[in-house]
This record gives sequence, C-alpha cells and structure tokens, in this order.
Amino acid sequence: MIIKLDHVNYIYNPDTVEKVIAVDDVNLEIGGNSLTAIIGSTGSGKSTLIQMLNGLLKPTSGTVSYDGEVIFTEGKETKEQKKKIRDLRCRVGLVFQYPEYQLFDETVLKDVCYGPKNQGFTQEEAEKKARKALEEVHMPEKSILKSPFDLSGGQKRRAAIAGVLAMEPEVLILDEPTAGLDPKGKTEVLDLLKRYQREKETTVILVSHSMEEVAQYADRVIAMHKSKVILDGPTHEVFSHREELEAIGLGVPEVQAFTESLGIKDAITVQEACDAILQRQKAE
Amino acid sequence: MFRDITIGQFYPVTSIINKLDPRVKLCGVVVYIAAVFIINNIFGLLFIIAALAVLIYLSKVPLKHIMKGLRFVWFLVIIAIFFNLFFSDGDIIWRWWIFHMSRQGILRAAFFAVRLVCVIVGSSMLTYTTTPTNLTAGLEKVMQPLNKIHFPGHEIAMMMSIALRFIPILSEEINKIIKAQLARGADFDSGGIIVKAKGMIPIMIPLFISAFRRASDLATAMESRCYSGGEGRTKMYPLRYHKRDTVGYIVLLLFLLASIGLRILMQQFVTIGRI
Repeated sequence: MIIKLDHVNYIYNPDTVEKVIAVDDVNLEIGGNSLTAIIGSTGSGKSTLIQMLNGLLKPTSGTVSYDGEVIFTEGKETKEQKKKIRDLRCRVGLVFQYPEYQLFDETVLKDVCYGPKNQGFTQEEAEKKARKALEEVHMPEKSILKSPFDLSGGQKRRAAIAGVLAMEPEVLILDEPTAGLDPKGKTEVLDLLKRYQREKETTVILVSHSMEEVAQYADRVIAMHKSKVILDGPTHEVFSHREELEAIGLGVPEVQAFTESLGIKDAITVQEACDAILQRQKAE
Repeated sequence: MFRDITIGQFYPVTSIINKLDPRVKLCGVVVYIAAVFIINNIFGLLFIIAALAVLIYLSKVPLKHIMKGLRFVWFLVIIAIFFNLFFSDGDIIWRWWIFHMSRQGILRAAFFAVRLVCVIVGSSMLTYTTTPTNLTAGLEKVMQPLNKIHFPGHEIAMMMSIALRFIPILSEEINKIIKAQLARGADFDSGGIIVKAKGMIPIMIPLFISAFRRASDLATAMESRCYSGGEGRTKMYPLRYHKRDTVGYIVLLLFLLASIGLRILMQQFVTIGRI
C-alpha cells in the first residue's frame, strides 16, 4: 500500500486577501512496513498535508494516489467517486489532534463501534472489532462500559485512537498523538503505535514536535518548512543535517547535541548514546 | 457546509469607511434603513442604490465577497417577490387559477426585492468594515445614556462581542469535528431526513461539549484578570471623534434630507413608478 503525492499544492482561500499557500509542490511516496514521522514548526503545512492523504482535502493542484489509483479525478464529483473516497477514508485511518474531542456516545464501546458500523458491519461484528481495538490500546476491561467523558485524559486519547483502529485501516495517520499528555501517557501511546505497526507490518505516519520521540520511534523522517518538504530520509540521516534543522527552528534530539560535543556522531537516542560512550570507554 | 459564512464578518482592508468611528457607522445603518423606506419612487430607488454603490466602492470590500454573503438570503428575496408578484390586487393584466398579476404588483415586487437587498447589503456593510471590538465599543457608547435607567449596556455589548467572536471559533470547531467523523467513515449526505438528523448527533454532542468548555475557560480567564462588569472599566483605545467623523455625520444628514426631498418633490412630477 503506497500513498503517492505528485506535485501537490494546497491553497486556503484562493483569490482573496487571506490567501495562504499551505502545501507547495510536494512530491512524496509513503508506504510499506514503516513508521514515518512528519516534523515541522507550526504552520508549516503538516496538518494540511496529512488531510490530503485520506481524501479529506482535495489538492488545489497535483494528484494524490493510493495503491496506484488517483483519489481525486478532474471534473464533478459523482456518486461513485464519493463512495470511493469514503471507502478510502476507511482504509487510510486518520486520527486528528486532540481526538478525544470527537467522542460522543454513551459508552466507550459504543463510541468505538461508530467507525465499523459506518463501514457497514453489523452490531455484533462492530462490537467484536471494537473490543479488539480497545484491547490493543490497553483499555481496562472495567472502563469500556463507562461514559467516555468519565475517563482520564490519557485514557480518552487511547479510546479515540481505538475508534480509528477498530476500522482496521491499512495505513494509520496521527496528528500529534501525544500533544497535551503527561510523560506516562505519551510513552503509552507511542509504545502502542510502535507495537501496532510492527505486529501488523503496516504503515503508520505521525506528526510530532518532539525530536526525542521521533528519534526513538520513527524509521523515516519528513521535515517540512514553509509549506515545502525540505528533508526526507531515514531518521539517522535526517538528524545528521543538524544545521538545516536548527535553521528552521526544529533542532536535533538533546542527547545528540550532547554527544556531538563529546565527539560522538550519529547517536540520536539515549540508548545509542550509552552504547557509544561505553564502547569508547572500553577502547580507552 | 458551515464554511464561508461571510455575512457579519469583518473584511480586513484599510479604507476610509473602515477608519470611521463605529458610532457614525451605527448611525449610518439606522439612517440608511430609514431612507430605504422613506423613498417611494424609481428616482429615490436609484438614489439609494447609487449611494450604496459609492459606499461599497469607498469601503474597498469586493462586490464578489458581498454577493457571496447574500447567498443565504436569496431564498427570502424570491419568496417575497413571488407573493408580491402573484397576489397583489390592482389593474389585473394576467390571471390563472389563484394567481393574478397586476401592474401595481409587478412594481411592488420589484421595489420590495430591491429594498430588501439594499437593507441587507447596507447593514452588512457595517460588520464588513468594523472590527467586532470597535463595533461593541460603539454600541456600548451609544447605549451609555440608558445606564441611568439601569439598562445593562456594557453587559449587553460584552455578550454581543463574545457571541460575535465565537462565530468563527465554533465554525472552525464544527469543521474540525465534521472532518474527524468523516475520517471515521461518517456519511452525512445519503439517507432520509431522519437518518440525516441522527447523523448529526456525532457532530452536535462534541460541539456542545466544546462550547461549554470554552465558555467556562473564558469565564475563568476573565475572572483571573479581575473582570467585574462595566463599572469603572477604562478602555485601551477610547473612541474619539475625528474630522472625518464630523464629515460622515454631515453626509448622513444630507443623505437623509435628499431621500425625504426626493419623496416630496417627485410626488408632484412623477406619477408612474410610484407605490
């Protein structure tokens, strides 16, 4: 399953004084068995970009194709095309920023069932999928019949993520899944995403502002600045462009900055830094 | 669906109308609406249309933008035209079943439509050219004399400004929620009216929760900055009249006199096109 963007542009409010170019000539291919992180400062076009990946936004120009098939074709939207896009949204799951604000049903279980039921599954099947998804996010058994508004912040977030996981998407996209969570909640969410990605061998794309998180969890990093993709590659390679990253207000993980002052290159996580330092001690 | 609600939203350009004191503009809306109903002949109608055209030109708000805002009121205009056109008595010139058209009816329908559009466009010019802050400051000032009879002018102005401020916030919120539910496979387009209404639940509940949360956050933020109503509260930028505002008032007075004059003068000369 590969999402391919070909010369994609997106402009908000075209032909008015408030015209904003949010995505500017982006070419990308994302897919396969990988966890990709999209980084970039606020307003760099990340959120707009990911909304085009599942057909929520139609690019102003350029094409987005999924699995070799172009999502939006020129001309008027037909009924058939609308159905195709809805179908696509089920195959490419998108979890928005602060997804807990979209919870609405009486119980967590019912809320998670919403997605599968929209896909056309029966109540029973939907419930089965929902229970499985809730298990994947480690929702305690006693919480799934509670009102989603009675959960803690971290649990609400995981319930909302389960709401998308229950649809069993082929590609999972998350917009800042850890924003506003405490350290424990952050680790829980990221660990579950990594595990989900490894187990299903699928594509997970996440937007993040924390270079530490990205260094530890991502296989590939895409850096955006002023609506353009400026760096794209394996995590280690992207973080080797320290000056560029600092110039656009992002920087590198703190541990990397620290170890570089010790003369150690390419250690972007605490674990790698430890190994490198120990190795050096041994050599000495 | 809820996007592009342009009616009642400030359009950010710098123009002479933009810079006018909000009190002048508030007065202007009242005068304009009065003038629209004072005039009663074709010349008067052309006069108020010309005045509106000049106003739009001076305000630098693109006509296209204004027309976009009108989209929601065309329906009203069409109904008004329909009833005036087919159910007016007078010199009947066409008749079918319960419908009949008269010379007076055609005129009345045309007048009514133009008047309605003029009133809507004229009054929306106020919000297009005035920031919500300025608008409420103006309203508060206008209502100040009523304080003597314990009319809560400040509170009403504050409520208005909060309500206006919340329109774009809530419309953004609603768009976000719609997108989030679309991403979960929601289908808001198909199905009968009941299915569609039920489909709104996943939008309305998060919206209400978010509106309450925002309201309570705002109340806390206001209290923690010692807000305690209008008494003794000063302004960072108090409203002050400039020369252009005096000119504005004079223009408004002349405009009003001209409309009255057109009605009285034309009464003698024009017999056609009068209602």
